[in-house]
Amino acid sequence: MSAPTRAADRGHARLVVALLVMLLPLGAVRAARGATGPDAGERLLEEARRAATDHEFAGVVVVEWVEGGRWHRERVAVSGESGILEVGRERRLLGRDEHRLVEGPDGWLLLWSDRPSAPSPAAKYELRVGPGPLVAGRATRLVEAVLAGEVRERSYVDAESGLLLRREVLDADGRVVRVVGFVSVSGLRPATGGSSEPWPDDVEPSAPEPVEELDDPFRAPETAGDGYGLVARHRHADGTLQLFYSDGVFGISVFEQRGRLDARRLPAGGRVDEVAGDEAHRYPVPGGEVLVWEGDELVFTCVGDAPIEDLRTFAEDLAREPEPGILTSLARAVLAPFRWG
Amino acid sequence: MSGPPVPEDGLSGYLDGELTPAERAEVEDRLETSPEWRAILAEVTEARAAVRGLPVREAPSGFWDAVLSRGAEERPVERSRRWQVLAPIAATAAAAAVLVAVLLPGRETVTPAVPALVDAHAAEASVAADPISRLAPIGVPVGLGR
Repeated sequence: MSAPTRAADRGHARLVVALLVMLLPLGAVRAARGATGPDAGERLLEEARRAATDHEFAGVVVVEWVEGGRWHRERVAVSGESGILEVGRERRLLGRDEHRLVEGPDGWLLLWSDRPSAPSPAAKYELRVGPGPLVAGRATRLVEAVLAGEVRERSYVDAESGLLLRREVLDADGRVVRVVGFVSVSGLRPATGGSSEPWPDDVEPSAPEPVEELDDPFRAPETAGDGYGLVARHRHADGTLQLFYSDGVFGISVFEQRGRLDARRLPAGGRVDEVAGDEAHRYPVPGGEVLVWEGDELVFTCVGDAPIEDLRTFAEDLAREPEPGILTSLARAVLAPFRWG
Repeated sequence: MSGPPVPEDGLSGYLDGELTPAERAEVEDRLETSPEWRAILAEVTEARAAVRGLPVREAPSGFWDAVLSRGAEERPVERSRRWQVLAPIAATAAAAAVLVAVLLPGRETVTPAVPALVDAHAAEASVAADPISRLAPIGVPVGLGR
């Protein structure tokens, strides 16, 4: 064999190896989508998390939620290109890796720049995987998260790309209370690079910073509610503490602010609710539920995509008086008379 | 000018509209003729306005029950003897407590910026889970005053 021929063979061998390396992840992805083993549901959900930024597509998503006893329905344009996810035309949001930006009147605002690590959904839920219906004209795999025999969430994953095409949230009685799903999607393929819209470089940094130590009276229990574990805690520039909890399927953020609640300036449209005997204000929003109440020296705002029963149980748990230390008890006893009103 | 002693109670009743027509006429008569009565009326009026302008403070729950039960537990003789010693201290402490309670600012009031907190939650949740289903709802330009 002549030298040029051997060189050509080595070149072909390298090409074959490179193709195999490129195809291996694709094979693993396909295997996950077709798998029915005990980990299949978890792998499909993890793949869906990455697929939104690993693929190019353009589509329309419908958001449906219940508010005031009525179903509401809104359409949102969504597209992905070169790892940049764009959501909404009237209110644009961008996502790449762990960065989340929202476009405001003065430019882009950085909402988030950290990667929390959620617990495994299989630790709390039974994940059932099976063939799903067509969603936006595409074949799907259905992943049901089941708790105590009741389906609490349905995820419809695109059978080819792994993109999550539809998500349904159900309450404890098995009723669907929230839906986010594609009604149309086109050009769905693996991302190739070369974005027509570059990542903005004039971003105002306002993302919260990770926080290690907490001062009294802030609290951050490691677990709360029905199986929600503390995943991350961050401090916003104005001093607000943000805690993020997850049970692997749903997420709940707790925002703690020192002071007394001035409820007169809360957004209109809230409903009166109750948390641990204290009056609370409840806001159903397109993405979930919000509870605001005043506890011991703190104002709490809980935001979650979990059904309201989960959020209430979580809030009741959080509102329980923590066991104070001796110095804290002494300081509170001395200062108590001066905290009237 | 010397006259009958000034009845501050009468002036309070006058200000509160609690006097009979005859008593009211008598007070108005004295006010017309006595600069001293008019000066005292002005002082009483000013003091009442100042007191009414103070913020209303509620005692913590259980405070009055605790005070009353503590008093009921003590025997009269011990209480009397101890009171002679403690009265000046208690009066000073009470005055200081009232002063501090009035002068110290109350806890700061806050109103959570609910729409911004909903955005912050969605942003974090969209990193931990599927981003489209978590971000699309805050792309909806409705609700919470948006």
